Amino acid sequence: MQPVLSNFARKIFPLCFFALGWLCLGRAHALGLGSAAVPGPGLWPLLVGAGLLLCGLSLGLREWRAVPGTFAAAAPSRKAWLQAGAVAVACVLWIFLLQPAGWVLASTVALGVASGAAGNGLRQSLWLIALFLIVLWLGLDVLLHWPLPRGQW
Amino acid sequence: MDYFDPSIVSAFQVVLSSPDIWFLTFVGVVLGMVVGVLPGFGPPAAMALLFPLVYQLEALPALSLLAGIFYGAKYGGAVTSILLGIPGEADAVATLFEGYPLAQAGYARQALRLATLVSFLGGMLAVLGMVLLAPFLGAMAVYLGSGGRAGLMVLAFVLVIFLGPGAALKNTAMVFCGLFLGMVGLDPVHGAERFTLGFWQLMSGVELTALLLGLFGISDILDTLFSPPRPGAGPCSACLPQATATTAASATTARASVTATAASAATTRASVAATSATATAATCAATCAATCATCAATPSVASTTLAAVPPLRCLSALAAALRGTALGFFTGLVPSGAGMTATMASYALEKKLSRQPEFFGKGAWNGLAGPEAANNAAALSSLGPLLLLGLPTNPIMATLLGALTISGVVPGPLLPVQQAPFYWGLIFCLALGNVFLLFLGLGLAPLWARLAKMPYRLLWPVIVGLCLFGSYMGAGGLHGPLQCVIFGLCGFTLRRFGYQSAPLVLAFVLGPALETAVVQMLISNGGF
Repeated sequence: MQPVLSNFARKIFPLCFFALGWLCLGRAHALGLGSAAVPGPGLWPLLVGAGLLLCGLSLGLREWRAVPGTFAAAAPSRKAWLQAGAVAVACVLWIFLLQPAGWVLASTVALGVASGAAGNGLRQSLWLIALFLIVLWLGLDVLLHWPLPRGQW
Repeated sequence: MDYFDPSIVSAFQVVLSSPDIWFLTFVGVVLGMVVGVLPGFGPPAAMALLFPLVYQLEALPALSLLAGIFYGAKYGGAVTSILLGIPGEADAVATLFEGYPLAQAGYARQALRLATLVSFLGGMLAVLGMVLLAPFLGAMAVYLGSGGRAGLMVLAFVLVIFLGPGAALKNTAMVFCGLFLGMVGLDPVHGAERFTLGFWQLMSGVELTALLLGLFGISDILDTLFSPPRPGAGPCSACLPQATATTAASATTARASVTATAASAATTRASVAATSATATAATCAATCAATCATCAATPSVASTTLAAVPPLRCLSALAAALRGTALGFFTGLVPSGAGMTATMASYALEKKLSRQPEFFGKGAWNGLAGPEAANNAAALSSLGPLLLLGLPTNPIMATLLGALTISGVVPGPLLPVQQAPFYWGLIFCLALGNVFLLFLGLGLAPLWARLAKMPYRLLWPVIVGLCLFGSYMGAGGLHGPLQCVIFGLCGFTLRRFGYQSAPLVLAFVLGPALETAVVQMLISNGGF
């Protein structure tokens, strides 16, 4: 991550906390605050929202006062970004494939993508996938009788 | 209140006569040792992975399994600290200070034996302490009303905010984020729908399994990928003695997010190690073996020193272990006290009490015995507040609280009376797990050392798969993995900017209980 982006991103977090706090306060009113003796369902969101709002404000003030560029974030390598992307792609593929294609195919594809991005060779990847599937099948399907999605085929 | 009733004997008999409990405790300890040794995969993620089993198993076997992972990992971290100079767990940094120089000096086996024995001693004494503590803590806690319970939970937050790693303000923000996530779903008092965004999947709230696997599984992987060097991943450029510090610090950062403290501690330690002329060559070789896949194939310092068996001369450290146990036991009772706080405090105490403090950092036996005993004692005593007050002191305890709730066990001061078979059964299981730990630690140390050198590129694709399956099983649908990925990405981003996950998880678990206590307090008091 480049330092400029880091400085910008640092200021995003307080804004997020502030917005979340604001959302809680708005929802608290909609839910109904009740009275002090008989509190309504909105009381807790009100308290949490106020806390988030204060945290957002305090963090925002601190981040805005900070000298720009002092945050020294080490720039990750391209490989790290690719591997992180592979994690995300593997997860998305698994989620989309699980119901229609079943757990075996979904896991094979997801692990194949992840293992390839990790730098494992084809043989290693195949071993890894086979081991993973066998352990899951034995543990979940055979031992625990946990129903795993078989797919629509 | 009669705490020491015949149910203790019957609980003991149940544990002794149940092969399931023996097996699951054993599996828990082994898994804990494995995750303690492996890089980039910590006990919270391992516990979250096995969390869905809680739905299938009885309360006692399920809790024995999960607790075994917790204290097994504590020991696993010590093995890599001593043999490879890499703390598998953040709590094992203090062990590295003395254990690694001892290993370099040819006392690897003795150091491992001592660590195992004092871990066992610390664990068993902590179990005994829990037995003795139960009546006192229970007697104190029955006087706590809803206001007292709320105050205790707020105190836990305050301690986590100020004693935990990371900036206090950021920790506070994370506590409120956790409280916000805990609000999602149906209101525990009135049953009103909150922040579900119209999704029925969110009616039962955010999934604990998905949150844990996201924050401690996916997020850990991403953090590790962005933090070089890793075993088997990086080039062999770490052949300087100082590289040990970098490796230790980066491992610590990735594993438990105790960045500032651990990194500085490891760096300090490494600078001491670097000045030790005798250890320089060995440090270089061990670092190579730990970080480079090619060098890992060659005989390492650890394996060669394990072959030599000088006579055991560690009994002089018994006093240090007892001091560490006492310190660890009491710090473990305090929220955020277990782990680094206990081990570092014990290390500092031993150094202060030593007649030869100049040996510290160069292989002092007492400096190894104290923190190791403190680590295990703190781990086990942190179960005390959870079981007797319903107060988790760290994310791992928060996971156990979730497991207790699902199993129908109500933690609190009356647990040893109302659910005596469970409480005393768990105490016996903890003792049993410690015995397993002793034998596994003494017998399989070379295996753990070899496991620690496993290339990370082989591990992380499997961990991703396990996280997806674990969250799917925990949630019973695809919304689990979806939440897991979202929390993983959020947790990773937050962690890169200094926001810790631990306060969030603690607040998430305690949030509904705190809300209920606050509302009850207001209703019973008729207002503020």
